[in-house]
Amino acid sequence: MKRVILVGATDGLGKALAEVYAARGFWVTILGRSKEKLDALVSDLRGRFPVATVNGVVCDLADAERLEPAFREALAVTGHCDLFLYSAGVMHHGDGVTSVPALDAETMEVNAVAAMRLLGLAANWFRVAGRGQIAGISSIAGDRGRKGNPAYNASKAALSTFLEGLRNRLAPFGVTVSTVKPGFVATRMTAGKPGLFWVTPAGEAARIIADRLEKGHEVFYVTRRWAVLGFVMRHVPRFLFKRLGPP
Amino acid sequence: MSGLPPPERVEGFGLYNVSVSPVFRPGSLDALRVALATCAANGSKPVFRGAGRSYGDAATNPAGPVVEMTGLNAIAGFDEASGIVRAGAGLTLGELWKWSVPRGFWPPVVTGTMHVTLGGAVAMNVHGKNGWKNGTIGDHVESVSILRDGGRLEEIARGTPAFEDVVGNWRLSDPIVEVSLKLKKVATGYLDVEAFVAPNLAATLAEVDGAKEDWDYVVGWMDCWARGAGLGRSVLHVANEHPAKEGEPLGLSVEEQIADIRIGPMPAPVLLLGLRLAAAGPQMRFVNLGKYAASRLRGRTRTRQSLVAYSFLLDTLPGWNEVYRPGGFIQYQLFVPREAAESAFEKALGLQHELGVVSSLAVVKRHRADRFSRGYAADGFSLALDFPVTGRNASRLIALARALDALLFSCGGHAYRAKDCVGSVERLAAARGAA
Repeated sequence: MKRVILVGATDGLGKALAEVYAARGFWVTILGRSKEKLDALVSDLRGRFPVATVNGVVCDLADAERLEPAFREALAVTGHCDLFLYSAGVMHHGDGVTSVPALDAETMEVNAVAAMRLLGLAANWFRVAGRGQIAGISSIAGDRGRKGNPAYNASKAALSTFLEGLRNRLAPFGVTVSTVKPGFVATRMTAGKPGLFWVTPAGEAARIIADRLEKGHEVFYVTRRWAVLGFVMRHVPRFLFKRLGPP
Repeated sequence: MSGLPPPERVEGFGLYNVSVSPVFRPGSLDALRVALATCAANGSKPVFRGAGRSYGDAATNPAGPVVEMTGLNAIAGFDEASGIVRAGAGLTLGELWKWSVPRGFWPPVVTGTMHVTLGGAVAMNVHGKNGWKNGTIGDHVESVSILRDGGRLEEIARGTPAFEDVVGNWRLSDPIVEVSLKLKKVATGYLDVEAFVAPNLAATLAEVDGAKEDWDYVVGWMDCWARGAGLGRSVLHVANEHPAKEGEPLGLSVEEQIADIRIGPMPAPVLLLGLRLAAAGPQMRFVNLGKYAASRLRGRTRTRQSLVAYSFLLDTLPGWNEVYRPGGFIQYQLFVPREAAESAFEKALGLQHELGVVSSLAVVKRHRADRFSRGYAADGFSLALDFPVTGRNASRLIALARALDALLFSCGGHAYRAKDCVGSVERLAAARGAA
């Protein structure tokens, strides 16, 4: 009976999440940039899960003017919202040592700025509604700044901190805010990336995320063993972190 | 966005559907005109809300403003000879009966709660326990007054095509502001109520059908938990007007009407607490069993009850819907043609057990064919099922609702907008449009 609005669910983990929620028969409204991809996904999900109510709303996250109308449109087709889940994200694989400012800025734009715009709208809605859940797919990458992709780390750190702030702001209003920190998930984002380990299939990661969100967990890694690594990462002292230099 | 009030939480009666909407509460026609102009200036289409007793999302607006009409509740006129009362669309049945009972009149059709407005009742074309004898409220409305865009008042009388378009039209983009309703004259404020049990579904439907000519009001409380030989067993309450007798009180005062409302020995807060503990759980099995068993033990009983006590059972325990927080509850009401009813209700009961979500409260009623083009009632029966919404049953409950949609589709039945919480009305319309 949940009504879920998913941002950035035409691909990767978001798409897998859309499938999980559609399989449960819920209302699933997907915000995505590409109309073709969106239409294909919506009709695929409708066909496979006739019990669910699946809708798509075209929304380019880079178009700031479009975000509020898209959010209203999503609410209109969903009826109300029990879970607003931001799962849009980009990662640019550089050579690991050279910054490309334009790409860094875009990373920040999608992963953090657009997230803040939409999550902020959602937060205002949920505060008045007085119930429900907001969640963002952040990353273990947001725990520390690493040498390999500082912009990605920064964008996810911003998202995690923003969500933490919303959590504290909305707690008195009965709204749960969750920060999801996946490790490596097998999606297009990680495909072909060297040095992967503990890779979780997207479908399994989505199922775990949906279950833990359902239980109201506020901050969690996917899968659980990444929580161990996350703990170590967060607590390794700076001088050691610099010397070890994880990618 | 200029001139819109700050957004607030707006709920359906089931508390499952909510919206965050700016809410206008006009207290006069002029204030209503201003509200509509403000909405128009902001390019948003308002939803008109009465007392908010629709179970689902009918009186919420997911992406826009809500205009609450309860401020327009003046009684504008009454013709004692014909029984026709003219009142603001925001007047509730509760306000109406308190005014009309001392004059010897009672609304011809009332819902299970008195807290519905006349405007909402017309827009949903509501029915009551006397659905077979008296049809829907639209059958008793003489005319309505609508505030057309631009602020012009239009009087729409019964028998015109425009009237057909208004009754049961919850999509109406202009608000109903006044309603003329023909009340019925009552000799006393009392009913003679007979209570008895029917041991299974076939008996329930036969009793409800058999009682329809001899009794004005017919309603059955079905125990959905019973299976096997007891599947569909019900407690039936049938009632007729109590005739005036020499030396007996007439019951035509508000005090006498209210005095008859009894909730038993437990005080209301204790009952509410008990309900809160039981409502979402399998304990409701025992509540239903207890109700049936007690009525069976008592045998056929005949009592005198006030119109208010009999009609507005949902108001006996004010605030009962609150016990379903935080998830709320939904009601699914199936309207099924007579010949299909037994097999459809049997399937509806079977599906509940199959999917592991059993209705905590179920009501069966008999209806005559709705003569309005936007009608939902066929010559047949309805079964209204209440289900709490919890995190655990969510997936199974929506599967059940969709299975019931399919059941209605296949047997030529209808869903009802005032009760719809999960988009069944639209889904059925889309499926029928495509078929």
